[in-house]
Amino acid sequence: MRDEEILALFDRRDEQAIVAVQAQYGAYCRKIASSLLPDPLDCEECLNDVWHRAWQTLPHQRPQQLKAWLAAVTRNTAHSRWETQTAEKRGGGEAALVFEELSECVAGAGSPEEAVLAEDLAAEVNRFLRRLPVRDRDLFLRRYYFAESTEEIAARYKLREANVYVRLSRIRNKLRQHLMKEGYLK
Amino acid sequence: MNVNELYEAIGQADPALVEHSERTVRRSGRKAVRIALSAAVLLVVMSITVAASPALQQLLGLRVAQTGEAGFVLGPHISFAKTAKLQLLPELANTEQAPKTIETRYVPMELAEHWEPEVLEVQQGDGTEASIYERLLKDTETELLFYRDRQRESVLFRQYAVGGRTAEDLDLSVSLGFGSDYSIETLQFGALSVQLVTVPPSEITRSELDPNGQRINSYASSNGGQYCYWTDGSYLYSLETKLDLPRETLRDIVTSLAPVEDVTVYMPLHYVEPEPTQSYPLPDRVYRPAYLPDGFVLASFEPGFEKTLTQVFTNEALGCSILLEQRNKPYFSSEQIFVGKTQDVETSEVQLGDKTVTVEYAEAEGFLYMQWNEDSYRFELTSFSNISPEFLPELYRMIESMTPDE
Repeated sequence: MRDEEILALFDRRDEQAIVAVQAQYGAYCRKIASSLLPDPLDCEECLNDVWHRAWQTLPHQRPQQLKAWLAAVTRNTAHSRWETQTAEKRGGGEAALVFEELSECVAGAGSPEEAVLAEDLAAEVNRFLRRLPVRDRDLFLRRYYFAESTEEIAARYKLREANVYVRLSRIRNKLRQHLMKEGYLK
Repeated sequence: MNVNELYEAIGQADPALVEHSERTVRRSGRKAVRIALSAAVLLVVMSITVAASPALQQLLGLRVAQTGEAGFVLGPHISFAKTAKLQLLPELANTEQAPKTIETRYVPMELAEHWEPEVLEVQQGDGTEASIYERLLKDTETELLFYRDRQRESVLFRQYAVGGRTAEDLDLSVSLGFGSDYSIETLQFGALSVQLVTVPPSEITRSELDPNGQRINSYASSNGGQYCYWTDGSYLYSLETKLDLPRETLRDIVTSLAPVEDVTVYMPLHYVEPEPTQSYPLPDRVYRPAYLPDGFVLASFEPGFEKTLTQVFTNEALGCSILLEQRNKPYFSSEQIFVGKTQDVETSEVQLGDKTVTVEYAEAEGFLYMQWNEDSYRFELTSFSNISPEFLPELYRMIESMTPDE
């Protein structure tokens, strides 16, 4: 079923919309969620939240790309769950590694009181991404957007895992330099 | 800012960029061939370029790498997969006759991954389409914008900087500060501010190159040079030069740049995927770019994704190969060239004390990759790209002294 047809079902409040979106993008969203939430039960609950969010939101929104919208919602929902679990000491998995790696990029940031406007930072990250060579950008997004393991990324792009590590390390360093240059880091 | 905020920001990445990362397509050349070819590219590149066309000889900014003790190449300034980069040699760039830069709609020998086409359409207030802007991202510093204005039927180019840099910061020259008669228009694409300069037709000089009659359009640039542009009917090319660039040199450049219009014509209509151990049968029609030196014959051929054509030409007398990879897309064509020794240099072994170290090149980045086994441990060492040959003995000494840390 095409996205327009799925969105039309949501518009009509037809419950077949959930069936359709699950059929079309269920596996895709599950892959994203499971990267952050290795426990199948957590993953399932996360996906239920995603479908619920879609049911509540989509009649009022018309995302240009349904797949991208679902990816973002799934990622955010899974991240929230993962944060809660981390607080309860149940976290771990790939997400912990992703956050550990990303923390390299923000070392030296100002105090938490020095608030950063989320939308400014997002725009800055987008600017950074657009300037990256395409392959590097893809690697970065697979790792830090989708939280894919380096092994998966290596297989996807037919690279050595060691090569993926090195490239990601370089990209993180570039991001850090970029954020410093733009005044987000000292 | 904390890591959560950064993570959230990454989560707001442009959906188009995210979507792109979903693709798994990578060039389909056989891995063994690619590694073998990319591993030794710089070693023989000078002998290849000597035979290339005069214009390309001058323009190929290639540097000769040095051979390390273990029989492999070290010291790349350009990573192995990006060997043939179209770039001015510094010594040539300082001469009076050197073109300051070449910018082409078709970007020969430039790594495709570093050029991303993007079509930006701007609509007028009444909803009618007014203009199409084609943008090519070159690297992290510069972008090249091609501007086609359908209504005015003019075709102009702009290169502009991103990230708040000015044109003067760039190594590629930019035509800024045109005469006051030129119309300057500023457009906003999201965070990008693009300034377009429209040159009135009266300012454009049109001429023809002998002997092929190629029409060249040019106009004065603000820094005393001229901006030439031409088209072959399908592609746009542009070139900023000194005013006194000899016509012969210009002709050499113009005639040496010729994209493959459609690589599919070189592919069999119906081909069957061969067994992994077999090669594709050679096609009847062979694409031989003009700059390919004599003496190279087609040795293997492989059609790939997205109209990608990979061909390997070998010259047994010289003992080297040239891998050509062409890719055609609606707004973009690319051609990559890898030059390498025909011998299989995928791996080599070095004896260091009681260690046998396997040395090979990482596929994409020109990293030197070493691994060895010792005491039931597997050691791996991936170098960064700018190892100097002088450092090699030190590297070996380090490897010899490495022991597992229990």
